[in-house]
Amino acid sequence: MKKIELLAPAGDLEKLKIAVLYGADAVFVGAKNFSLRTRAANFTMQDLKEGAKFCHEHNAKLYVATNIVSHNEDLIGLVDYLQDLEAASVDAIICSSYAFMLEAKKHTNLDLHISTQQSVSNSLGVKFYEDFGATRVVLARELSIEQIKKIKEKTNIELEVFIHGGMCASYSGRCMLSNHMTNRDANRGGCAHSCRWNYELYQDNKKISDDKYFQFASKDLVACLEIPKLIEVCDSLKIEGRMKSLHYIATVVNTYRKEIDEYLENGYIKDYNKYFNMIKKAENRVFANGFLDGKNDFNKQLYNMRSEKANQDFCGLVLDYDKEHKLIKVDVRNYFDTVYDLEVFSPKDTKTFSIDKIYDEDMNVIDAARHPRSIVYLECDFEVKPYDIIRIVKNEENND
Amino acid sequence: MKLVLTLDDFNYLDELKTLSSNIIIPTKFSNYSKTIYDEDSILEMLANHKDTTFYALINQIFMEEELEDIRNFIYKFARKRLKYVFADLAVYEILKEFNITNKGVYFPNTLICNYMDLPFWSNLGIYGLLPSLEIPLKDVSIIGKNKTLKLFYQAFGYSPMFQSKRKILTNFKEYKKLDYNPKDTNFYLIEETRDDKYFVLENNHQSTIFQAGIHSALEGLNIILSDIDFLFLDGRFIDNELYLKAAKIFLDASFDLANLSDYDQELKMLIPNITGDFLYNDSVFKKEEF
Repeated sequence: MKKIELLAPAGDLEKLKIAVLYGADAVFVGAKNFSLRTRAANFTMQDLKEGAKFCHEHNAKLYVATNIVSHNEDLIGLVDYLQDLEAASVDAIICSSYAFMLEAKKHTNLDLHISTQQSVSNSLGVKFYEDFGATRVVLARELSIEQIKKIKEKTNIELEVFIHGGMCASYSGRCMLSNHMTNRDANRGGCAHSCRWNYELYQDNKKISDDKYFQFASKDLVACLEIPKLIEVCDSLKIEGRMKSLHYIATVVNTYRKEIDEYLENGYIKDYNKYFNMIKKAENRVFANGFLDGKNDFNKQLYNMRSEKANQDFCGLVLDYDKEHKLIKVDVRNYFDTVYDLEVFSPKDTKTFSIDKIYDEDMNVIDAARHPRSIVYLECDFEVKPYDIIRIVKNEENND
Repeated sequence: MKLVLTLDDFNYLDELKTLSSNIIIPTKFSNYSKTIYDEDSILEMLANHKDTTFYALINQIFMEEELEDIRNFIYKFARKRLKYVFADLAVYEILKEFNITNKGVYFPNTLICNYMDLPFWSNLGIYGLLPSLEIPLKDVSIIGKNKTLKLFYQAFGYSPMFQSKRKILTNFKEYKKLDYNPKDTNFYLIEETRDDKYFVLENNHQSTIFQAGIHSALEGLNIILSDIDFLFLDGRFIDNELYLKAAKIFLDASFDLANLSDYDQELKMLIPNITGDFLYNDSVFKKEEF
């Protein structure tokens, strides 16, 4: 059976566990230093050790993004840090800086994955890193499935391909818009997403864009339709989103897990809409399939749209279940009350239930679960497990 | 320290040669250029200007189906006195195949930002490289003091902020059903809260958005001059006469650092939209610095 890895992001230890439990074969994270996404919570060395242990206990792998394009000042402590990562038993590091690649090779035995920030878009670029000793290249996101296939035919190291999440409008690693417009370094994790701002287009002092602004950001990538073909041409399918919520990670990972498993078992996908509908339960932006179909037209770009769609459906995380009293102990994450029907979303299935009452920690009845990170209890006849997710069931009445 | 100049109009070659014997020739494999020189033109230049070191600018990012084309190009010149300025690692692999890595100059725009990057590349036997323009001159100086191969620095010219495979002008035109030629070279963008004009180009390889104004490091030349080997002055999309005058100012300044501020003033009077982002200050990236 073709081996394919589902690789998920995690911004903290809790999300790492969720990613693994909901079906990821590997997780990539960032540490406090040296990684992009500085606004993600990021991992201490102790978190990394614990995360690696958890992953390995569940037959999963842990990769650490050390993918900043480093300046001179960022090199302090690099070798110690890389050696600490090795001691923490992480399975690989993801690099874009030549200095990091060289030092990791000289001072550790860490597996090297080459970041998409290097924009490797052909077989010779992959061969370059194969000769250097990398074990994997994360390919540029500008490639079609056909191009990926040709690269795979000519190279011998693992290829990793993005299947979901935000896409740079620019070649990754080659964009300095944020640097020049806000002084925030995109290649060290400070990107201000200037590509999503509004611009006016002029030609020879004459404004071309009339009532609508010129924009050039890209739609997010959702590759549900492309999964069967991608499985045949690469080794790892990557979900972007270290800054995404726990609910997003659980939903997106589980969707692709189920789709991959269906394809590997049956050789085809019966109903793609099922997977698109599952994805929509997470907070999601307008999406397209990137460059995977070989097209590079305006349907892949984001014009005059508010791309964020806040999702309040995620109510809370199951902490425990009292079998005797049939009570779920919930760590509240968003407001909910007894008006809505709820569902328990777990790695294996989804079950609905309704509630008449919500109890606080002292078992007093309250009218609503208002405060994120408060503890409440809900009555539920069927058993649930820690890390199951409670969310609102979307129907005609409460669909917004 | 030597100047490296770009050739736009062939009629200016002799005048450029009075300032430098290192000339970059834009080709069909350049990420962007107004003028493109074909193989026959390059062969002719190599034959008729033996006192000049020519560099073919082949710095686009290549897709798989484009590799054969660039391999054939390099093969044609492999035994000739031509160097290559590249951004895609595929070019390095082809140079290696022909045993001419020592003719390669790596110019990825954004990826070389510290002194420890250089041993990686000197181990691979290339001739030289250019660091990012988004690091301060003091960092360039540190890189220069630790260099293990030839160090070039782009001290003048339009500098790209954004390079994308997306055809952003074509796509907008089709989305809005507008009537313009996306391949024209007189477009610019203005962000809704800013006054700066960002020159924007689209060609067959990529879309490029440039930083507002023309980059110049002349005012800080004294910081780096003794640490670099080549000062690259990029004349693409700059009027040829202005470019020649600017190059002369840089050359004169390099021999007269005591009067650098005078030369800088002269350049700014010649070209009013000079800019100098990151010459002295680094960018930030930690959330507490935002």
